[in-house]
Amino acid sequence: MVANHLEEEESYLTSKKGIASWLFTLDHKRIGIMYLASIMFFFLVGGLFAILLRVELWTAGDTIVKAKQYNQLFTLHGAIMVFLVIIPGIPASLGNFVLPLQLGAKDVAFPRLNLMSYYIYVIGAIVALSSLLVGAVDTGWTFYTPYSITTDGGVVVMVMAAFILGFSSILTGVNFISTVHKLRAPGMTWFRMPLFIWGIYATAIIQIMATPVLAITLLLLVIERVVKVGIFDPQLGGDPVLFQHFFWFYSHPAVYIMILPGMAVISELITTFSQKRIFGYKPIAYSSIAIAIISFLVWGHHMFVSGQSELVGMIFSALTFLVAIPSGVKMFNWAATMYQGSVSLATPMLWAMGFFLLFAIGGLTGCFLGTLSVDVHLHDTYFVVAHFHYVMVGGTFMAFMGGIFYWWPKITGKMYNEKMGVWSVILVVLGFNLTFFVQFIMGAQGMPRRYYHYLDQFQIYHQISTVGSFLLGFGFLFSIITLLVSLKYGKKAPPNPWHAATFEWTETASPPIEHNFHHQPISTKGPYEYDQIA
Amino acid sequence: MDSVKELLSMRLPVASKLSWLPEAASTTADSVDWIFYFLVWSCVGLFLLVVLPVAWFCLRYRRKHEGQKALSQVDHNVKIEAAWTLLPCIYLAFLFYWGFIGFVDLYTIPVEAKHLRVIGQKWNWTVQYPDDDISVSGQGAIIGIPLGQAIRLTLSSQDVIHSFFVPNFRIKQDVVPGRYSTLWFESTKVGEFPVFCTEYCGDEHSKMLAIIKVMPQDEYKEWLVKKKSENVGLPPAELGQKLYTQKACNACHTVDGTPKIGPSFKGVYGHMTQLEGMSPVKVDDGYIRESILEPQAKIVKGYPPVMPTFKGQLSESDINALIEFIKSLK
Ligand code: HEC
Ligand SMILES: [Cu+2]
Ligand SMILES: [Cu+2]
Repeated sequence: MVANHLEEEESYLTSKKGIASWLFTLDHKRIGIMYLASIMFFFLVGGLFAILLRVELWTAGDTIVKAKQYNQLFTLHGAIMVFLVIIPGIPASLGNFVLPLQLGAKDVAFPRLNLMSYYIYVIGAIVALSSLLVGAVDTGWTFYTPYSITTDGGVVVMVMAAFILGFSSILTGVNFISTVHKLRAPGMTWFRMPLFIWGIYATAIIQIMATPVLAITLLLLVIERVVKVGIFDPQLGGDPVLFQHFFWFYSHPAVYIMILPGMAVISELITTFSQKRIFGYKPIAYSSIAIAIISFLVWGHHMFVSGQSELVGMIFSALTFLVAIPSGVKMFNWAATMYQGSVSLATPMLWAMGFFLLFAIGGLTGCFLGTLSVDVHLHDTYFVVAHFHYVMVGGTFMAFMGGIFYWWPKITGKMYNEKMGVWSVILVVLGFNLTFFVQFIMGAQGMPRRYYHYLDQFQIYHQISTVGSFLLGFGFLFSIITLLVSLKYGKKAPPNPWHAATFEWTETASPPIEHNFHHQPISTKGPYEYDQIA
Repeated sequence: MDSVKELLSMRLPVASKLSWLPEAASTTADSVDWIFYFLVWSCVGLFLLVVLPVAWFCLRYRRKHEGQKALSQVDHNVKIEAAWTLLPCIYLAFLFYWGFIGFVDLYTIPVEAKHLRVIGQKWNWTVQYPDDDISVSGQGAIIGIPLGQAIRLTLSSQDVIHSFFVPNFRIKQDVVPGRYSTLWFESTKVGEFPVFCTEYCGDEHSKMLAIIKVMPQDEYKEWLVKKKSENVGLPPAELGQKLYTQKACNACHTVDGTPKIGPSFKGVYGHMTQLEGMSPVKVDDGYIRESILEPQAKIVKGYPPVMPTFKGQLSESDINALIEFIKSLK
């Protein structure tokens, strides 16, 4: 009933026209789309670099580039994927679009700030790319001192880009926290919020608490490089390991800035496609907050062999295992949600199943790395490379894709071709495992990361991985094509194609009108009461 | 260069057979391997424990027709939830404990250990034997080690952070400029085991290889004697040629005229060289000596100021030998 008369209305996509109506829009939905397009663009750029790296590693010596360029390529791949793709990723794109809708709000709390965050992101991205003009950076995305102080190239420019991007991240976080506190629909208590919001909320807390530390660290690095104060440079009496402490104090929580939103999406997908109330709402909500807090106390697990004392190593190992528990709890709750459900394996749910498979492997291999004596052997080998790709790509990015395919009908008003959707998931999951599973094996056998040359006996693993990367790349391209094709040929989407129970599906059309809702939605029940909706 | 190519294509006992870990060759390796394989199998079990039920639910509760409702809306069960929160705690506590015990072993150095010093620099390892008055260095350097003797390494760095990693011994330690770190091992097998640098350190990071050659005691003694006399009585230019690879000048310089990180040595002697911000100078004995001992004093135009100093690492006759060698490259 609600939906029918809404469909007559102009949607947010057509209500205003012209390029300026996009560039200066304050509408959270349009800003979300602009983020989505930018993030996908950089994903393709970062992915292209990844493919070049894999091609280079086809042989043990020179294949297509020289050592210096190889080092620049992996730095660019890492920096782009981390700072321009995965960190903004889900919150800035899907979060922006969905969060106000799920809360029953007209927009985020500070729409102008929201637009500003986007432009800060754009400026950061431009600065990052302009480092190429000064001379590509070859430090790795971790900028470890003293290497980053002594090497040539545009380190200062790249570091400033990360600094600028940090502000975009902080502002988005502030905006979301205010929105959640202030703009919930009447009747929407904290425990009636969809779990997507809990996840984004926990992420926002980490964003505003951790990112300033990164900003300070990067600023110190720039100061060190330019005026040579002697903070990190041992030649001047500084301590290079201090940089690692500062850096990981941000960058470990950043891992959760990346994965929590992914988990948040998965909670929505699993309930909707099982048509069943989430199992353990509160444990899932609280575990997000627990992860947010504990994630600040584990940074030292990146430094077990850096020379920190054994006692410190022991404490960080214990805390690292502690943070595994809330993640495990979520996995079990998702599994239990499907029990006695009405399970549909539509494309978004298949992405969620892919997430489940890959994130389980990513999480479990984390146990290897938390175990002190085993980490000594595995640290800085391909085992670690495989582990974090399973978590970041197999976890976050699978969830991101799942979220895009889930909300696509809402965002665009179009249904994509289901068969193509299913094939996208199959290609990505196969390609992913082919690329990264062998990396566990070669890592355990001693293949260090960031290596341009390698011993001949590793070649077979590298070649399997390279073949896999082509399949993976093709899978992602195919997914994006599936989505783009639907814009032209897709069937018109009904307001609630998945029979979901949250506001963005039940209270507004696909795509929504400019102001989201005709009448202020009122929350009278939990977010997953599938038997109580029309 | 060639030594590295050979080295790269050597069949070293990493990845020699189809197994997760390379051949274990130190006293501490076995306990690491034990927990590693425990992790492998327990993780396989846990993986199946979460994935199989989900697969089963996908089949068993598959939606057969549009609008089919869930069989129930159960959304909590305190007993099960307590179980899946607490049981993993026990498992993880166990991992923590065993990992920690093994870690402590890796850092408990036996008192009778023989002492060696390791210096990391772009891009090779130097190992000094204080008791025997020898040292080895260069990309692909052979580090002789007596079988069954505990060895203590004191590690330091000339320039940036490196990391000393011996996969077969399951040991790794960052080498940080401005501080000393330590590491120990006791080998249990005769053989050649690669040493990698695992902290990214620049262009030739992946060529920063050395080989630990574990030998029985008597063979090791012979090796020491041979090492000591190796450079004795060589004509200076020949000694210089040896030092050129041993001191890893070849990581940055070539002898065939192609520039690398630094200029080639071919034909420089006696010619003028262009300097950054200074008038050109003639390459003579004094200039080469200064280049080696105080590389930052004069910087060749078009090259970065990255050459490390070799002060204290080369004797007077070594320096002369290097000069003679460069002079001989017409
Ligand atoms: C990390 C790389 C590196 C290593 C190792 C290295 N050099 Fe250099 N060297 C350079 C660079 C770069 C330059 C040019 C810039 C400068 O003058 O410092 C240079 C310049 C020189 C010059 C002056 C050449 C000219 O044409 O004017 C000499 C002589 C020299 N090196 C000798 C040596 C010797 C002998 C060794 C080994 C004991 C060595 N270098 C090891 C990087 C290196
Ligand atoms: Cu971490
Ligand atoms: Cu190194």
